[in-house]
Parts: sequence; structure tokens; C-alpha cells
Amino acid sequence: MGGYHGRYLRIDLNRSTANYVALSESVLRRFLGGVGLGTWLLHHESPPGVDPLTAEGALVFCFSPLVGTPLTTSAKFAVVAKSPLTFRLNDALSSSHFALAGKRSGADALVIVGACAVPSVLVIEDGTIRIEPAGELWGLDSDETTKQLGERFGPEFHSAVIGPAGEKLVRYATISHANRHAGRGGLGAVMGSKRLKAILVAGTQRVPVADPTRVIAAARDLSQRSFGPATAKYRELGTVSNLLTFNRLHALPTRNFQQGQFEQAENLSGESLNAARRVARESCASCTIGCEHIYSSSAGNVRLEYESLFALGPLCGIGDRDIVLRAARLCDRLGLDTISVGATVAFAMECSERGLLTADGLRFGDGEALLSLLPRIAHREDPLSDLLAEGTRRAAARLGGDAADFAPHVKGLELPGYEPRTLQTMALGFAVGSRGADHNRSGAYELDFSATTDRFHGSPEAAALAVDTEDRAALIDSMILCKFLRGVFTDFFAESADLLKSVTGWNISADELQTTARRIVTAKKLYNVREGWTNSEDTLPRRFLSEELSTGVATEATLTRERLQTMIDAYYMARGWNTDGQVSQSLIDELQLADLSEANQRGDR
Amino acid sequence: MTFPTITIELYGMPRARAGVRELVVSAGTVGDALAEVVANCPALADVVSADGRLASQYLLSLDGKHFVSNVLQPLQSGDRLLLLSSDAGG
Ligand code: SF4
Repeated sequence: MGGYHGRYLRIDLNRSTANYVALSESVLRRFLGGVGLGTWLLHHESPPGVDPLTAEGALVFCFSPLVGTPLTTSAKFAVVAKSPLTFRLNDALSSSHFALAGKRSGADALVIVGACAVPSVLVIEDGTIRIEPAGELWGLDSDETTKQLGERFGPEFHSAVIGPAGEKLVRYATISHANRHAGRGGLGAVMGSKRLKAILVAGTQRVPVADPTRVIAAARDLSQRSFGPATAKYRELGTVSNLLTFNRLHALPTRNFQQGQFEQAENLSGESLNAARRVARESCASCTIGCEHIYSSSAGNVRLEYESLFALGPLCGIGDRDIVLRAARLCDRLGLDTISVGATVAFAMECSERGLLTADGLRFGDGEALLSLLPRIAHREDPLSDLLAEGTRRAAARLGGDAADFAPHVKGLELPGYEPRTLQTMALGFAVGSRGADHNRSGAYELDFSATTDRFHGSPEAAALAVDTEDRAALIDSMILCKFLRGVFTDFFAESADLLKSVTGWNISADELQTTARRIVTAKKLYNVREGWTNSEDTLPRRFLSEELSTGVATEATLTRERLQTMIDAYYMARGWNTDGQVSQSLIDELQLADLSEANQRGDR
Repeated sequence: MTFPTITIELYGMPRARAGVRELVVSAGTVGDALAEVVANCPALADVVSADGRLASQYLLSLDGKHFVSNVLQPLQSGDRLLLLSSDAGG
């Protein structure tokens, strides 16, 4: 079997021990790597009902069979844990040398349990570990921590670090590597709860592939295609170009989702940012696309994506470019998920304007207030910032009144920059997503941006297509390749089968991979069921189901509770789940998931 | 024959490449409108694929309401066609 070590490294911080645990070929073939393997490991390593911010919770770093090959965009890793924000399964991806060095350290995954007694760094080198005190790093931001670790350990070590937000257990803190983040769902807080400031990896253990000649040929071909028109948008403008398009289509969440258009959108647009502020374009390790566009701000250069731009700009009613760029830079350094923190501040602005919250006159459009709040939230400095560090669901519950109706989250995870009333297939994707409102595990918006569906009137017919986008995401996140590459494939499942065949040697087919993708999505669901999921969670906040947008063509969009429910029912049916969204034993058997439900019943670990 | 006058709004990559925000053209169909884009903006020569259809890296929306892909679709005076980059994600 090429592409794998066939084992994971289990690290117990309580005992300062590490041991390899074998991963059978059956498990690897059924779950591949990345998000898929991480889900399998979490089922086995995280006890049912665990509070993710206690020592018992597991934190999993998963590599993949493609890491270390010359295939473009393959230097990626997944981080998987129970989310402190949602108390459901959370998986987040990041890129670059941590993936390459992590896999060279000798394992297909790192599973970290227990907690250190004092702030520490975990050093993993060729399968051995050591835990070093890191009191002098505690309190430093992500950039400074990375810099000091580089000086202390040298260039062969690569680090994943947390900022102050992770230390203070902010429920949407990130894990940072090379200025990219495993961003969503508070994985940085899980790492902080283990008193781990950083994990460093290095190693020399390379894994052979089954057919090196075919892998090299496939890598050449994929790289060639990555230079073509399907990725031009990412190279030329980056994701920030979404902003003006979404604004024109009444799909740009504005002022805590009260409007779908922002009057200062031109000023913040990707087109104008690129003309006025772009200073460089960069890329993750092993990537031939290079989608990272770097912009100048008065606080230094900053990498900006659409999601940060929308959340720190229109969602908070802020149209000042420099403020938004500075805010994004601050979030990177503090280790805050830009989507969740932007949405939480926007929610607080609305609460303040409605008199539900006393916050020194906080209001939409107040950029200085945003810049002041970000470090306070990261440090939980005062009662207001401490409340906002909990995310919108918990903040709304504490504020009471009708705050929960407009707290913009699903299952506790704040919505990304897609207005669900004018993108109604995406509304379905948000409602049913296993990690909450999420645009990376469901590509349902692709259907809204097509002639296939009526985006103002979602229909059950779109459910099967939404399922297909989830399955594709599950596969690409488990192989792992970058989603920005997805447009270059003409037959995604068949071409993925060819890639995996060359790397692993398995005689694998497109049909098998389609089943694999379904298995991974349902395995995540089973984890959530174990942790208490019921179908009452698969919904949207009341605002989206009772308030209409009031301008232009958006007034034609109506998203009622009944319409959403019809789509959800069709989605469950398309997934083969029961009418209440639960998973039948026959489907568990069909998808070869019996070992997961048995592990759950036994309460493994 | 006089074609109706329509406006083509450009967003994202089309705007960055063409260097203009919109074009006012005479076009009877979506296909005519795309031909005008190519004639007016050489940087957008790839907007029409070899088989005469809209190339897959672009999207067209009619008045921001419906996405259109049929190049034979007739246009009316005052219509606004939005030319966008496909792949909204990220
Ligand atoms: S396309 Fe962008 S996100 Fe994807 S691997 Fe390349 S640089 Fe990283």
C-alpha cells in the first residue's frame, strides 16, 4: 500500500508518552485521510459526551495519502475535534509545510489527548516526542510565536500555533500555520485547553507511492491544467472578487443579515482592492495556483479572503478599506476566526442598537469599535468581550429577549458570507451541515449560481444536487486536494480514482469513491447523533424564515419554514437517512460503518 | 434590422480584464451580446467557447434574477446582462 505509513501517533500529554497505533488497510481505504480519517479517529479517541475543552477531548491532525507527492495543492492537513462552539464534530483544513513535515514524522495522523500541566510546546520528530515548557511564549500572538519558534528550533521544524484567543479558550479561536488557519469551530481553543502553545513537527520518513511514473505524469498533467481558465479567478483576483458580484445579486450579508446589499460595496470590492492595494501574490507549499493576494494596510501587509472581507466589512456595516484590512490582520495575529468574530460583533451591534445590550453605544459602521473589540475578545478582557468570546448562540441565550431570532448561526457556527434567502439551495446546505453553517463542506451555492435552480424559491429537486456537492467536498477534503482545483476535473470521481490508484496501488473505482464520500458524510452524522443531535438542529435562525429582504429583486425571495423543511426532507431521503434524519442500521451496514457504531456503544477510550 | 439596446455589466475577472464596468450594445440575443463583448474587449476573447457557448469560467445573469446559458435567448431593450466569474466559493 503506497502513500501511507499505516499508523497514527497517539500522544498522551498527561503522561508525556507517545505510541504508534496501527491503521488497517480497511480503515484507510474506507476513510482515505484528512477529514475522513479524522472522523474515524474522533469516533474512537474522543469519549461520548466529552466537554471538548477538557483534557479528555481528542485533538486530531490528519494527513493524507497525497501529502508528499508532487501533485499540486496536496500539501494539506485536516484538524478534527469536537467543537467547543457547536459541541458537534468539527473539521478544518490548512496547508503547507506542517503537512509535509508532519507526515515525514512517521504517521498518517497525530492524535493528542490529555493536557499539559503548564503552557508547553509539543515537539514531534520522527515518532519521538518531547514536551517543553513555553511560559515565555504564552500571551504572544501567532506571528511572534512562529518567529520565536523558528529561531529556537531551526528551519527543519514546522509549527502549528495558537494566539491569545486559543489560550483564553475563545470558542472560535484558530490554529495557525504559515499565516493560514484551521479556522472554523474553535480548534484553537481545544489546543489551548491542553495548554499547548504550539506543535512542532520534523522528520525524515518518506512514504513511497505505488507507481511513481504514473504519479509524476499525473502531477505534470494536473499542474498544467491548474494554469488554465478554471482557476483564473483565483490567480487573477482571488476570492475577494465575490464581494461585488454577491452585492449585485442581493446575496451579500449586510448589517447582521438585515440587508443583502451594501451601499459601500464598490469601495470594498476585490476589483478596487486589487487596483489600489495589492502588493503580492503568494501560494501554499506545493501549489501551482497561488490564490493568496496580499494587500497593504496602515498596519502592514495582510492576506485577505472574501470571507474575512464580508464579515469584517458589510456584515458590520463598515466600508472603510483600511479598517477592514487592519481588522483582518489583527484576527490573524490573535488567532480569531474572522467569520465568527465578525458575525458576533455584527450581532452585538444590532443588540446594542435595539437596546438588548449595553455596550457604550456600539453601532453598525463603527470601525474603531471593531478594532478595539478584537483584542479585547481575544483576551476576554471585560464582561462585554467575555460574552462575545462565547459566540452568537451562547451570547443570545444570555441576553434573552428576541436575540436568538437574529443570532446568525446554525448549530452554533456563524454563517459565512452567503445570504440564504437569495441563495436557497445554500440555505439547505447551511441547515443540514454537520459542522453547522458552512460553505466549505457544502457547495450548494454552485446550484444557486446556475441556470439549474431558482435561487429565490428553493425546491426539493435541488436536494440531490446539494448532496452531490457535499460528497465531492468530502472526497476532496479526505484525499486531500485544494477545492480551488475542483474546476479542472472533467470527471471528478473517475480522475480521483486514477490519482489514488497511482499513489496507493488500490484497484479503486469512481463508484467506490462515491460510496466512500457518502460514508464519510454519514460517519460525521453518526458522530453528531452520538453527541445528542436531533433534527431540530437542522434549521436556520428565525430571521431568515420570517423576515423578507426589502430591496430590488430580492423582494421576490421568500424562504418559509415550510419551504426549508420540504428541502430538508428531500435531503434526508437523498442521503438514505430516515425521515427524522437518523441513520438506519441497514445504511450503517451498507456503508460499512458498523465499527463506528460499535465503538460508540462501547464508549471506546 | 435594429437590435434592442442592452447593458452588459462586468464583475470580477471580466471587469479586471476588460478595464470597464459596463458596455452598452445592440444585441438581439445572448449570443449577439457575447459577440459584442469579444469585439469590444479583446481581453475577453475567451468568453465564447469553441462550440459557440458561454465558456465555463464565466456566468451570465439576466437582470440579476436568472442565470442564462442559452445563447439563442432573445433580449429586450433595457435588459441588463451581468457577466461574472464562475466558482463563487472561497
Ligand atoms: S489555491 Fe490557494 S488555498 Fe489552494 S493550495 Fe493554492 S494557494 Fe493554497
